[in-house]
Amino acid sequence: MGKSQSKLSTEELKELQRTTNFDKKELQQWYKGFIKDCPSGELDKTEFQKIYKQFFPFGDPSTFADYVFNVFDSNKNGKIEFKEFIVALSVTSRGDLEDKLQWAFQLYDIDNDQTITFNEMLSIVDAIYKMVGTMVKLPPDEDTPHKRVSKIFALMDKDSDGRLTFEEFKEGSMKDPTIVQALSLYDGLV
Amino acid sequence: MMNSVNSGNSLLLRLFKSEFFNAWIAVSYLFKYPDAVGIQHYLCNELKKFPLDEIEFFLPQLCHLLISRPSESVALENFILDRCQISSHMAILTLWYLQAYTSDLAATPNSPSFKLCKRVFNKCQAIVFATEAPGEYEEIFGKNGVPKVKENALSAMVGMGVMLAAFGQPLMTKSPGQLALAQGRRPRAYSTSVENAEEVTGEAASQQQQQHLQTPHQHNGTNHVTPEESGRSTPAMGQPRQETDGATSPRSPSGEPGSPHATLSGMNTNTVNSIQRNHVVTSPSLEDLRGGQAFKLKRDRFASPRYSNDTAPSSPISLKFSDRDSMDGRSSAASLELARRSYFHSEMQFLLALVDIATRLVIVPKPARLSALRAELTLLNHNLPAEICVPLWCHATLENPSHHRVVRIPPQDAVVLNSADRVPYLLQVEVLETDMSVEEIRAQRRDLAEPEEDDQEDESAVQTTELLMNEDGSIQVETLLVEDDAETIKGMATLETVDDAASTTSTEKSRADEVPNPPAGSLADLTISPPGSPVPTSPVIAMDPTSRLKSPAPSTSSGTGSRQPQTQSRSNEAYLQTVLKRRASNSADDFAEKMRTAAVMLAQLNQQQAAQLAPGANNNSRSSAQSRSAIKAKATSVEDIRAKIIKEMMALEEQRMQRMKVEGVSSGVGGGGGEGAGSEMLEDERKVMANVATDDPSAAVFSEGWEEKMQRIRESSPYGHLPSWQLLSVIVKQGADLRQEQLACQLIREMGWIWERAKIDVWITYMRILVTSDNSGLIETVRNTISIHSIKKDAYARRLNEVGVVFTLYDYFQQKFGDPASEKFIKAQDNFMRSLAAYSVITYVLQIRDRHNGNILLDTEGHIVHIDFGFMLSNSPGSVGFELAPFKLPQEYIDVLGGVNSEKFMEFKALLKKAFMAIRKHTENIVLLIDMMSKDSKLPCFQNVAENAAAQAVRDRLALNLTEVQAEEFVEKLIMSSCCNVFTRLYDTFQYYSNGIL
Repeated sequence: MGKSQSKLSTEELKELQRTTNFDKKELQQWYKGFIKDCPSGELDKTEFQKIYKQFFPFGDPSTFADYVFNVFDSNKNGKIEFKEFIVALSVTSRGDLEDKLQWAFQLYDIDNDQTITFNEMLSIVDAIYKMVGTMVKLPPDEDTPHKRVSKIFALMDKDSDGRLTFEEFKEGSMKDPTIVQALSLYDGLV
Repeated sequence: MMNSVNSGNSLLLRLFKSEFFNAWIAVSYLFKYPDAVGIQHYLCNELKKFPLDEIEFFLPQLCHLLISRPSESVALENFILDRCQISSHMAILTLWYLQAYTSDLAATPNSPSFKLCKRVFNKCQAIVFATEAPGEYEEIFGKNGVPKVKENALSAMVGMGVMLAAFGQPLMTKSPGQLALAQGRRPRAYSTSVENAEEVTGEAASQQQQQHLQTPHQHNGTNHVTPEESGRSTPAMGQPRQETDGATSPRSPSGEPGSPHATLSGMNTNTVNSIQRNHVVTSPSLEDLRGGQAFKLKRDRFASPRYSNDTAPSSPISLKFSDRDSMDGRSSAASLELARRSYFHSEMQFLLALVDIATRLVIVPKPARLSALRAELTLLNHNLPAEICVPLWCHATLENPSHHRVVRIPPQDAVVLNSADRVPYLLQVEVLETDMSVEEIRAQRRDLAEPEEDDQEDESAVQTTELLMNEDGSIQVETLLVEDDAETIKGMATLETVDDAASTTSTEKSRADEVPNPPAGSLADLTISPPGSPVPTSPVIAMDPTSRLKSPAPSTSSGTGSRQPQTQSRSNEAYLQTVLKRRASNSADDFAEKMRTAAVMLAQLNQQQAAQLAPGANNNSRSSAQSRSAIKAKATSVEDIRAKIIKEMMALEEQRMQRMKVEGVSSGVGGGGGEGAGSEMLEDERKVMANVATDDPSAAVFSEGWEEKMQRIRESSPYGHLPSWQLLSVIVKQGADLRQEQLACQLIREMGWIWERAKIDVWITYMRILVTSDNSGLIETVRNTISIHSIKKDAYARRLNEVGVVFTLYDYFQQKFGDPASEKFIKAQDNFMRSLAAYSVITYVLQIRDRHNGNILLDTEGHIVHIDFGFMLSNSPGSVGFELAPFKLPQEYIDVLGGVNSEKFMEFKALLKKAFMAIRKHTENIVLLIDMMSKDSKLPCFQNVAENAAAQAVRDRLALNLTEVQAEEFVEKLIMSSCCNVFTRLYDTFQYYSNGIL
């Protein structure tokens, strides 16, 4: 798939029914919606950034958008296709917490070596802060990306090796109700 | 493009976070960035922090922005609906605006604007009436108010990104997450072929499509229509969710198959205009009005399973309401929701009833309109007090949610204002301030188990008043009622024969018998021996058991027979009067009913005729209780019947005019002269003049000031003794789009605020205008005013001047306020000057045209007031384009000020300059309001110019390119060219010759 089609083929449907938590009808509806929003059937980085700019008008979301793009673009071809989109949506809306965390871990593990270094985390958090800008008031011990990352590592890096493994990432997230809540954004709504 | 927007946005945010930020800035940036999703959401969130009345002020603009610029962002839509959920006034106002837009856009049902309008209208309606079908409500607002997202891929990708950011900084994800959800709920329309189905609901699952086509109409059919179909919606109610029973049997089978609603929804399914274009709430039927319960939802409606069993707060509405009112423990959200629904229903029904009266009056022959109007209102009165307020006039706010309650409409103080082809009318509405809160309605609902509760309450009020009246010995009130009685009985006598349309000759005869006998004789009789005379002579004195307001509970069950002995057994005079009064009101009811019946019959005859002209019309469909007699007399042609009805109405009217002659104008006209209603008053005034020429003509002009009138009505009202009693005075209009008037008043109000803030001591007033559709609404009257035209007409009628000498405003000031050196005159002159300065700037900046003297009022303190804003900004009265002066400043105004060389005139010029400069400084405040309304506007004031041109013209007129000094010179020139402008004189002359306006 990839190129614009008005409908998913039977094979594509079958495959997606197997790999996602959506049924046939839902897949067809989401496909329609996807094609409406991206008539070419795929999104590149620039277009992706543009969407983020619509939603974050007062900050600079481009860096963060790029990181997110890379998570979506699982086949690393520089485009987000419907399949990549719907798989992500399936995880985020109907997956369990572990699935979601596994998916989220990819964002922070920029070099994909199964650990998150301090600098990796700092890059992402910095991008988040740039994206949101001054819109949100933060407590003094988190009001810069560096402070926030230090805090994260102080709490979660159990072995103090300056890296977070998935286990540490998972355990730390589960302990923070605001993270758990944020991860349930789409629960029951899609 | 995105980059350019983005680069400036940090500055924008700084502005939004600055201390200068206010609702106006928020609204103006909403307007500037309609498609910037994030900015829209941010601003709408910020707007929620401002008081509701500030938002209400901008509501016309916000609605217009919403409808005229369908955008990617759902922020504004959500914001408006959110405010509607919080404020009942806002909800009703919005519903009416949207209804007006629906009419505007009906010609283009496939336009994005129409679809958007339809969607928001449906949602708003669901809020207002908390629709009875749970499935339907959830469809729009989701389970527990959390709707699912739709297939919006882009917002989903943002939402997912936000989830990813949670680990990095969860505090930053909350509001972007909500934003992504909100945008994610945006309805999708996929293809043109099925658009209609999907667009309404936005839901996609195909098995639901059929269903969705149906549900919106069921809104229409099932809810809040007339009480007759009350029980109807219950059967389907128990089902948890409609989807479960599949698409095959939506709901119609469970309703009565033959009911008009079945047809209605069936028909609508096929039409593109599936929106509820017809009024959702109908105005009450004659039966309802007679029953005195027209504005109350019947009880069985509240017994529907949903409300009795459903204890869990089922909607965001009820949740919000209970939050706000911090209820006591017993109150359940569900009962509040009921109260709310009932309130909305009644309120809309009441206002529709008022508008419908104006519609019906059009058919009534002119001379009989006043009587018909009063008859209609008498009947309406039986349904008051009710849980009704008049939005815009009602002071209830979020913080203090107690509404006023409409308790009575004194029929004798209503007056018809004939205009070319419509019949607006002026009426007074008695309200009790802060009398009603949702909490209280809820309490009353709970007490509905005891059905007499309301009556007892009313009765006690009436009795207290009667006592009071007896103590004062205010006989005039009593006499008035007796007179009503006399007229009433005659009316009944004659109208009875109309009902019995078989014998034409007897009708003629009875009328002939009655009319030449002026009521004077019987009047005397009545005052001498009240109980005896009217009763025996009256052919029908069947006591109306429905007049609950005036008659104490016990007597409602007993008829005429039991009443008569009662009267005799007690010779106590006070009691006699009470009974008399009750009887008077009862027979007044009958009269009212007859008169209304006649009006309704006329309307039906017209309909019938129209239907007969249409091919293949079915005659039976029209048969109803009221037209039964008309159908009986089918042999006679429709025209004959019509002529007969009109004759009868005229006969009644003749009697009324006779009475007026005897008693003076004020009783006949109800003090219409005391309030400026513009050129539409002319007709009535002319009549008044014709009638009073021989008597004391001063009655016509300022016959009764507002305070006086209020006092009089208060004294005669059974509620007048209550401290919270208030009187509103409004004009009900039908057949006129009031949105332009509203815009003008809004602009005047804004200018008034600018002057107030700048501490410039000018004087203005503005009217509240309630738009109820694209061709109806209510306008506030300006108290204690009369048009300059009327002043002059009156002066000529009274021959205050020598023949051939012109009567000027200066003459009037002298006559009214005394010697020019007197304190009274000087005060009035000062008032005149301050109002003239303001209105000169207003009429110039807004290019308000058609400034003849019928549209310019003067109040009792000397202030000038402009009304009627049909021509402004870009349009002017048709062929006559010679109102070329910047503003109206004729010699007579200058004379009032003391001449061009007087100190007062200098003061006037200086004040006008200051006022002009202040507006100039805040040009954009004015321009924004205009600019926001101009896109795709249907208002006449935007028709002749390109979009934005009207706003630009305002800027041009304010000469923004000039320096301060230059601008002052500019104003000086404006004044001088207005001064005694030849065109102003020409226009007045033109008006005199073409329309008789002095």
